[in-house]
Order: sequence, then C-alpha cells, then structure tokens
Amino acid sequence: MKYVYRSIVALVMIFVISSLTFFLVRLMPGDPIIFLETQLEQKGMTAQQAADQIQVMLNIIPHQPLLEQYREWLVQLLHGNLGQSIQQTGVSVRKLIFNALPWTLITVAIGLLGSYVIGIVLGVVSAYLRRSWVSSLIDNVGSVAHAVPAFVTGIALLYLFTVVWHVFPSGGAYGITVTPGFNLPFILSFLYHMILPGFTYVLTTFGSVTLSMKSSTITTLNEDFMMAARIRGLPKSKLMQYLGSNSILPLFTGFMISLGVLFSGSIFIEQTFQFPGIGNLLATAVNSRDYPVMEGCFMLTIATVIVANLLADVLYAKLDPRINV
Amino acid sequence: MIELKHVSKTFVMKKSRASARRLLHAVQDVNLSLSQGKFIAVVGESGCGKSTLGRMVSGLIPPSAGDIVIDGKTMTQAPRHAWKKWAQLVQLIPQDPYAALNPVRTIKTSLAEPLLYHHKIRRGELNQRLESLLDMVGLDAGNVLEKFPHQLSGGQRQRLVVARALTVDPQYLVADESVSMVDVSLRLEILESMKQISRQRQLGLMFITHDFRVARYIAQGGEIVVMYLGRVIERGPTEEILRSPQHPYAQSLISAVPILEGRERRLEEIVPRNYELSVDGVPEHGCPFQPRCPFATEKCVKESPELRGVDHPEHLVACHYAEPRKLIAAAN
Repeated sequence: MKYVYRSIVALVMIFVISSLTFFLVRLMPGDPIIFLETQLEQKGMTAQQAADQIQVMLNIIPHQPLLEQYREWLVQLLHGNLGQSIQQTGVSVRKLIFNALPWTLITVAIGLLGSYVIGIVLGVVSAYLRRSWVSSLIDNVGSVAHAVPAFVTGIALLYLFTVVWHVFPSGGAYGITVTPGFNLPFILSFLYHMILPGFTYVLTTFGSVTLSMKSSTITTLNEDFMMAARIRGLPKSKLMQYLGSNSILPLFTGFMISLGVLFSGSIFIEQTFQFPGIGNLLATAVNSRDYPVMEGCFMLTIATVIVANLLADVLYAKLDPRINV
Repeated sequence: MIELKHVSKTFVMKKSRASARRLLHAVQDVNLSLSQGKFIAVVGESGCGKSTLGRMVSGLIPPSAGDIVIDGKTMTQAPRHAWKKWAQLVQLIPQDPYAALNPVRTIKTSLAEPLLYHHKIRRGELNQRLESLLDMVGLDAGNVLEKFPHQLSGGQRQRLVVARALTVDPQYLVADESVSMVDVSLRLEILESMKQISRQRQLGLMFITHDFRVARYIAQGGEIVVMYLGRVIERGPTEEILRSPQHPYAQSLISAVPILEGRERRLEEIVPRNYELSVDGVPEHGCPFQPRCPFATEKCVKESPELRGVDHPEHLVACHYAEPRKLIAAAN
C-alpha cells in the first residue's frame, strides 16, 4: 500500500517538474518560431501566410498564448505524444529519443559499472592500507580524477588517443562500413567506438566512489562487531562478507541516483566524442532552441531520477534491516 | 591456566610528523594468572589500561613486552591457526552490546557461524544447540533468532553477546565492562547468569569494570586486581581487599561506592586530592598515584613503589605507606 502511495507521489512529481520545464524552456531567449516567421515574411509572405505555413510544417501556431500551448502539450502528452522536432522538421521527438537512447544507455551502463567496480576495489584497498603510501596515492589520484571536469579529461584523452596516437576513432558510435543490427562486426565496431567515452566516464566518476568507499570501509572496520567477529576466530572470507555487506550500504543510494544519468548521458562527454546519445541530442536541441526535443530529454531525465530514487528507497530497506520505509 | 608474565603495552602517540613521538604506557609490567573456574575482577578508572589488558589476554592486540602463556604455551597471533586456537580458548565479550552485533544479519546467522565454523556442527543440530545456548543466558529462542539486532532491547543484546561468546565454547571469558551499558535494574540478573554459566562450564572469568560494586559481586571468592595508569597497584582475594584495602587509590575507590544505609556504615573516607586524571601529568618517576594521593611524601615523588606482599600471603600492594584501613563496617 505504501508503495502505491509512493508511486503516485512520484508520478505527481514527474508531472509537476515536467510542467515547470515546459515553461522554463520557453523563457529562453531566441524563439525559433519567431525567427522562422520573420524569415518567411522576408520571403514576401504576409503574416497570416507565414503563420499558416508554420502550422502546416510544425503543427505549431505562432504567438499562441503560453497557457494555450501548455494545454495543447498536455493533451498530446496524454496521448503519449511528445511532439515534433522543430529543427528536424517532421521527425517526432519520441523517435529522436529512441534513436539516441541505446547508445547512451549501453555506454553509461558500462562506464557506471566500471567506475563502481574500480572505485569499490580501490576504496577497500585504500582502507586496508590506510597507513601506507599506497593509500595516499590512491586517494590523491581519485581526488584529482574526480576534480578534473569531464570535458577536460575527454579532450585530453581525445588528443592523446586520436591525434598523438591514432588508436581510437575520434567520434561516432560505429564505423561507416558496418550495418547497425545484431551482428558481430557492428558490435565490435560499437565497442571500439565507445571505449574513449566510456573510459572518460569511468575516469571522472571512480574517484568519488573510491573516497566514499574508503571512508565507509574504515568506519565499518572500526565497528565493534568486526572486532567481535575477529575474536570469534571467524575465517577471513566471513570477515570480508561482514565488511562488504555493511560498508557498501552508504554507496548504494549514490549508485541508484547515478542510474538517472544512465538515461540523460553526459552532455560534455558525448559532445566531445561526437557520440550520438541523449546528451548530444539535448545539447543540439538547446543550441537550436528545439523546445519539444528539449522537453522530451528533460522529461526522460526527470522520470529516471525520480524512479531511481523511489527504487533506491525501496531496495535500501531490503538491504539494511534497520531502515523501515 | 592463563599466565601474564611481565606484560606491557606501549602505544606510540604521533600527533603529526613534526611533533616528537610520545609513548603511552597503557599497561606496565603486569603479572596475573587466571585458572579455569576462577573469577578475577579488574578494577580501575577510565584510561587505567584495563581494557587494553583484556584485549591482550584475548589475543586482539599483541603485548609490547612480556609473554601471555596459556596452559604452558606462549601464545602468538601468527600463524593463523595459532590465532584460531587462541580464539577458541579465550573469548572477549565486547563492551557495547549496541555496536557489537552485525546490524545486517539476523541473530541466528550471527550465532550460527562460529558453531558451523569451529565445531563443524551439522545444520540439523543447529537449532537445538542455539536454543539451549539462548536458554542458558535467559533468552527465548523463538523470540529472538529471526530478529535483527536493532529489534532487541539492551538487556537482550547484552545476553546475546554473552551467548555469542559461548558459541565458540571457550575456556576463558574476558568481559569488558559488560553491564555498564545496561539498565541498573537488569545488571544483577545478567551478572548472575554470567557467574552461573562460568561456574557450570568451569570457565575462567576475567571481569573488567570501573565499578567496585560489580567487582565485589562478580569476584566473590575470587580475586580483585586494582589498576592505576597501567600498573597493578593492589591485588588480592576479594574479601581480603574489601576488608582491609591498603593502597590509598583502592581505598578511595571503595569510599566512592555508595553504602547501604542501615546495613552498612562508613568508618572512614579516603578522598583523592583531585578527581581529574590528566594523562599529560603522568609522573616520570615515583608512584603514579602520587599527584592525587592524600598521603604522598617526598619519597613517593622520587621512588616508584614495587608490588609487595602484606599481611595476607596473596595480598599485594604497591605503596610505600601501605596501611590497612577499615572503611565500611556492618551496621549494628
């Protein structure tokens, strides 16, 4: 019952925030409709003709009051329709998103998994060796990697591996010679293309995972129940199990929230590597004030973050018996 | 038998790279022996090294000097099977029952592991073993086994950590302030059950406490060891210590115990010169208690007193001016 209630709250939240973004994106200066209208008028059309033309092309009535537009948008949304792109005339937003989503999803999933695996292992190592130089090395490398922005790391990698050494392709999601689909050459080509963006993602996120894993491991190591387990002479494997199940808890919420990123991608990374994912789609949409596409991307992110939060709450209670949702 | 031979533990206190190393003598030159079936209470205020002593006896930390000998064998923590052997002989009951239980495991898994690992109990027998174990500490198995630690009361947890120590089936128990976190109303019951279990199983019990009343209760017919700043300053049979404490510190501890009005009366009260214990002020030479001792003289500042026997053969005191004082008498 409480899950039903929470799901309803989540849905309401998604709706409210999406509505807010509807108005927010339209507050951005540089309305492309007006631009188009002036363009058409300069070609010799009357204002009425231009408006009609736009309505035929984009299914948008120029100078319609914002609330009217919002009502229209809501009706379309209830039909599962996110509208049409303004920039790529006639293409539906849904199609654009579905085309971009798989690239982002797979890349970020691999990157996220990689950064958590690396971060957790390094964090535990650093916690165990906290009195040696190894620990400070790991901590410093982690902090620096975390502190350098993704686009800097991305450009550095891009320069090193595509300009200095021609090891990886500089952009795209797959080579021009392969046909997308479930075939080996395509999969290999895709993996080859996603190494650099994926690696950039790992490089910029593993640091924070390492540091928080280290601190939570040290906290757990100092707990009395760890000492008690040691006194009972339990084998090392058991002690590691005790340590793991307790110290990984604080990281879990963070992990679930980064699942939200799974669907929004990283704008910087995807732009740097010309990767045709959601981040790139959003960036292009923002630059050309493509309202419907922007809204679609934002709604996707909003929905995933909220759903991931809900899931985190529910699952956390399963992992940690002390929490009662 | 556990024998401590000139056992010391020194911690290196390093504040920063720049500041000089400072040594903290947590335990200094302690000799003790604990045989199976015997009860010893170690008494002292916070920071006197009693917990460090308990940790060394249970093998958690190695002594800096001296030997811990169990049944004629000098114990070491390495190699691993030696440590496992140690764990099977001596079990430490941790101080804080709230922190000592793994929060994400049920009571059953927590208790079952040592049984399955050390004693190779078959799963079929497990429930029966757990039930009898919990029964011994006064817990109802059906009520607690499937629960998580946070669902239990403080008293239940305290009993559980005792039961958990027993899962290893040790020959000695070291209880570190075991009832200090429990409601006063429950203390007696838990102490009683610990005594009973130790008697039944012929366990050697080392009970560490800051409370002279607890020491008196647990070590009836046993021995009391009074520690001050890492040193044993007085030890002897419980009744003898209570009847005629000789070290001013032990006397001040007994003076601090509230008396039972009507049943007892106070004859004399020994009060230290100040109540604050500052670790920085530990004297390099002389008697460690001298800065607070109401009877200190020149000699106490210069010379450190050795532990020496007084009238009773097993009663040892480290004081230049040891003098029996009768502090409490039965009311008539």
